[in-house]
Amino acid sequence: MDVIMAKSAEKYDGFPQSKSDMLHLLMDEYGEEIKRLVFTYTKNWAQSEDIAQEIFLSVYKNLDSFREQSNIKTWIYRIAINKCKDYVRSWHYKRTVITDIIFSNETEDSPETVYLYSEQKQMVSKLILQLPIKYREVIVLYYFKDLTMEEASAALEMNVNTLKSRLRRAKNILESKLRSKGGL
Amino acid sequence: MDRLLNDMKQEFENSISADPVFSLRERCQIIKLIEMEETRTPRPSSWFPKLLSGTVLASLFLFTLFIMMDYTGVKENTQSSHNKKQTNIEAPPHHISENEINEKVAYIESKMKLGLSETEVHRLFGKNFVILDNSDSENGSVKRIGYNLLVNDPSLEKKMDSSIIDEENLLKRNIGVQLFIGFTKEGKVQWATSNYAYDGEVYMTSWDKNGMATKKLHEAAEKKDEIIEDYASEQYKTFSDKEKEVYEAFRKSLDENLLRDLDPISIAKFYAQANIAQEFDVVYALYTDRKNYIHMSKEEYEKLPSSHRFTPENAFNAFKNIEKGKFISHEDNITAHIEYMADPDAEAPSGFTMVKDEDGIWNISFLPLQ
Repeated sequence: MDVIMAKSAEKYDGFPQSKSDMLHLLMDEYGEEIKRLVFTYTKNWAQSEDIAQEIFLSVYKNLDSFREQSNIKTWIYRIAINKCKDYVRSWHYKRTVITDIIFSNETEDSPETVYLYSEQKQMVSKLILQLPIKYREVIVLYYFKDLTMEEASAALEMNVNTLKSRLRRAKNILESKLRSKGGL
Repeated sequence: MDRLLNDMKQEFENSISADPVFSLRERCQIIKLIEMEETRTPRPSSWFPKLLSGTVLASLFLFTLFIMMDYTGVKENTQSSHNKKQTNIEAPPHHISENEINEKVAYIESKMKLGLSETEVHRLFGKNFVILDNSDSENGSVKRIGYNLLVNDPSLEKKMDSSIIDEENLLKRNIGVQLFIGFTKEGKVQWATSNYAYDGEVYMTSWDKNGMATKKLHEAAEKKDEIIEDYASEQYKTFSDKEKEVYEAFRKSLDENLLRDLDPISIAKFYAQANIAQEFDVVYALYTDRKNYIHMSKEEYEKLPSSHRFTPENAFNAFKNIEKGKFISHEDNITAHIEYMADPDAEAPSGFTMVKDEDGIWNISFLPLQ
């Protein structure tokens, strides 16, 4: 706990006095990116908000058990990923996914917004969110959350070689999907 | 693929949401949750707390007994004067607390989902709603209702005007939360907004096909204006002096004759500018009205949901470099297209279809992008 406080204090003017101060610092630093990460799993903002709450609650409860072996970013990411995986295994998630599909189909044919998806990067963003979770998460963590291979593998609790092969496979799937849509 | 992924962090984050997603309200909720958890957590037992709580309980019992005896005695002795006093004292006005509002907001946010039926909505939020005018719907909803939840005066429960947010009463906490809901023709929730005051500002949480998002009411409007201004002024720079003069006259009068001697590319630039500036009456005036071509009445066009229109950013990107495009007339001598490179890295150029009206003026096809 003191180690986290000392590390975080380097970035802030005041030294955090309590667990509650520490939580505020962590929400400042990671709140936005964690909620965005959660959305890449749930694809639903209402659920993302609930899960982000659970994550920071869990962070708060477990601050005392944080060990210096992992860095705090990896530690928070691991908590977040585990919460997200609990959620996607739930019945509620399966029901929400069906609802999301119904609503996304409703808007797919709007004439002028078709352009939005014709741009390659936007198309890839959309395709990433359609990947199976095991491929989606490695792309998001490594390319968009600035985690190194080692950090991403620690957050996902998998070895680096597995991570590398998942990344390779994820990129292959993306390439073939992009090709089939005429984007490559 | 590796290079593309390395370059697109910002685009990916924007595709999730261009605005911040972790709000102050959520932080407050987390802190509140933690406080609630901590009060629920039992403290380690020891003899001192037991003794303390025993003493407190005994004192409470004695105090209650004393009050009951005292009250009964007073009641017996001074019942008539006491009653007289009570009739003169008015009940203090109910002040809606921040906690009440927070709890209501959290309840709405945990229950509201797109696709809920009207019956489910009534079950969740009650039947004390107002049916509102839906004629200005941009979202395609066919029915709109509104709730004033948590009011300190019952007369405010049904005081609603269309979907205008009663900021004054929200800020004064006369109304805790205003909830607006739009339904599809099948009677399912298509969109909803929940509006409430927090820390002297009005916040809006909205649910639509893009999910749920919370924004400060005025911040969102100011930000949108700022974005429109940035993109519109950038595009406007490509106008020649003559184009500026005609465009300004056209957007005021919508008189098609002003376009008569213009180069078709100038007309396409006007269309781009009007879309970027979100001036949809100008956009509509530029569409073709030639028979046998796709046409939409002004009323139909105005009812188009916002998802069917360009955002300023999309319009800016879609029509980038159209001024450098090549105008290619087709064999029928009625249609033509402009070929241009909106994205210099794209493999194929973009195409923009135009139609010559019977009066000889080039107009825009209803589905201009190829």
